[in-house]
Amino acid sequence: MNVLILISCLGLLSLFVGLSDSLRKYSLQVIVAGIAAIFVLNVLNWPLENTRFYSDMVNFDHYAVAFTGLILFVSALVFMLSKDQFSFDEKSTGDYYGIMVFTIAGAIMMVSYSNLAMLFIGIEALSVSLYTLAGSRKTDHGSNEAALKYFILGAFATGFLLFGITMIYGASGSFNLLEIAAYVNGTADLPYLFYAGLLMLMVGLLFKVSAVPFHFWAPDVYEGSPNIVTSFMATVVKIAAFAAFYRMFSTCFGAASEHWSLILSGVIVLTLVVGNFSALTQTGLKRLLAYSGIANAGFMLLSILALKGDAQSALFYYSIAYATASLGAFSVLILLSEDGKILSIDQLRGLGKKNPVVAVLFTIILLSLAGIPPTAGFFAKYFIVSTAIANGYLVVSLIAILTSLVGIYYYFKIIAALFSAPQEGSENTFGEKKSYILILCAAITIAAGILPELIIGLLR
Amino acid sequence: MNEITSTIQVVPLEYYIFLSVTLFSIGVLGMLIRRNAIIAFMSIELMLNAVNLLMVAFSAFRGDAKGQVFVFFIMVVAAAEVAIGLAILTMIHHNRGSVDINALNKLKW
Repeated sequence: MNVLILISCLGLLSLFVGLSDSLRKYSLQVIVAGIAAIFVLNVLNWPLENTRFYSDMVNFDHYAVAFTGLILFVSALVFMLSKDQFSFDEKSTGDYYGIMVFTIAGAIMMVSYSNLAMLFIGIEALSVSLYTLAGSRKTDHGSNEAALKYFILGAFATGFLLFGITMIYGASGSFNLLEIAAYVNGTADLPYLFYAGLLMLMVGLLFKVSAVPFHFWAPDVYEGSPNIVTSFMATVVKIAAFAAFYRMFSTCFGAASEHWSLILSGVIVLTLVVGNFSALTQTGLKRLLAYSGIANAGFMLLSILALKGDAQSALFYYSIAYATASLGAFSVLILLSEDGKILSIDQLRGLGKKNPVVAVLFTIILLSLAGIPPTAGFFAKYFIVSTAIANGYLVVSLIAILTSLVGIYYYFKIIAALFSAPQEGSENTFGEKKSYILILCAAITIAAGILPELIIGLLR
Repeated sequence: MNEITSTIQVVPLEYYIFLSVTLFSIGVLGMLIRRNAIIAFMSIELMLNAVNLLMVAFSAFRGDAKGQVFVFFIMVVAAAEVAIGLAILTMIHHNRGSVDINALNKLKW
């Protein structure tokens, strides 16, 4: 509804602001102010009367409003982090900001759709903008490569998604989520066409959330893209993809769960195992964060497997915990390294002496990613696992717990590096740097960990 | 309009499904086997057009216009996607002088 229109207008505004030389330096302020205003408007939408708009194309229920709010909040943080990050192409800064805002518009469509056509448009608006952003360092080979890989595999996934949508349309005769749900609930013997469609749809969505075995694009694209774009992908885009995934399965396919839950369990186990064990061997911080993102995707998929009970609020809480923690980690990356250069974990050695504030905050962030209480990451994992167990998925939940113990090892490897003696002959100069976003992320991580009921209660 | 729908319905629905699945599989195989980025683009187009064909067939057999409207969405988005893809490809060709996917090995797969 109006949030969607306003965010698109903000994107256009950013393009126009970027046109003039004198206005361009204010583009960041304009966008952050605009997003803040839209965030307030979105919060005002919370006491709902009418949720369905545009001939039932979007449904702004509590779920949609909550996730829209989270997406707007996290993107505002990403924008604040993006100061000077597009300095390699000063004249086009307005364009990059504009494209990022259009990505947010796509993300909002993905969390609020109630028609598969809207889901498709949302995913494409998001993906096409991201292909461009991934390649925004035009002369850098890594960025080029990331853009092409992301584009080819993303378009491939879109093909599967569309084929799935078509088959479901062929079986049920509708694109509307509620009508499909009525068809699934009312048909005793679903045709093969429907199952084929469901599987294809799942493949398409699993590609977008980078679950194993469809994950192989993620580490490359994360590593090659500019740092700010990677932090955008790892937070906003991932939340939107999971929200869309959950929305579709909880509305439409709950009744047919015996046909997909086994496959999804297999995917979750693979994602957790491959994600965590691949992260063990990484030496670069950015690539490690990419694999940690894959491992976290396994946990978030667990809420889609559970589907009932508190799965919705557990997914929302996990999204908050994951987004703030990973944005904090990326803000450290942006603070300490330049685009196109790999920051290895060894280079972090000695940070605890030279810049104790950043080192301590980064430690809090890493503890949250590892899932150590009292940070938000612990409660996020706890809620997801407990809803999964309550819905009868004990084995998968146990595997999730065991693999997250592996995760603790590589996060502590970074923490150990932070507080050990610096490398000989290293010329790292992270003396006086500080980042307000890092402070904010660490604060939210702890606050959400101390008061989890506040957030969990929102969607109950 | 009715004439076109009845013409489409002359061929049984299964045939359209087989044809679309075949076209889609050719597209998928082309993506996986061929290493030239332009061919990869063509394969993606083939996949999307297989979807379009199937969508139109379902729509005609159900006598329901929603599927045909969806096809327009797919066409528009596919055009936008290819525009971006070709821009990326031009940029890569400009920097490296090749569009072979195997030459892109700076990031390990």
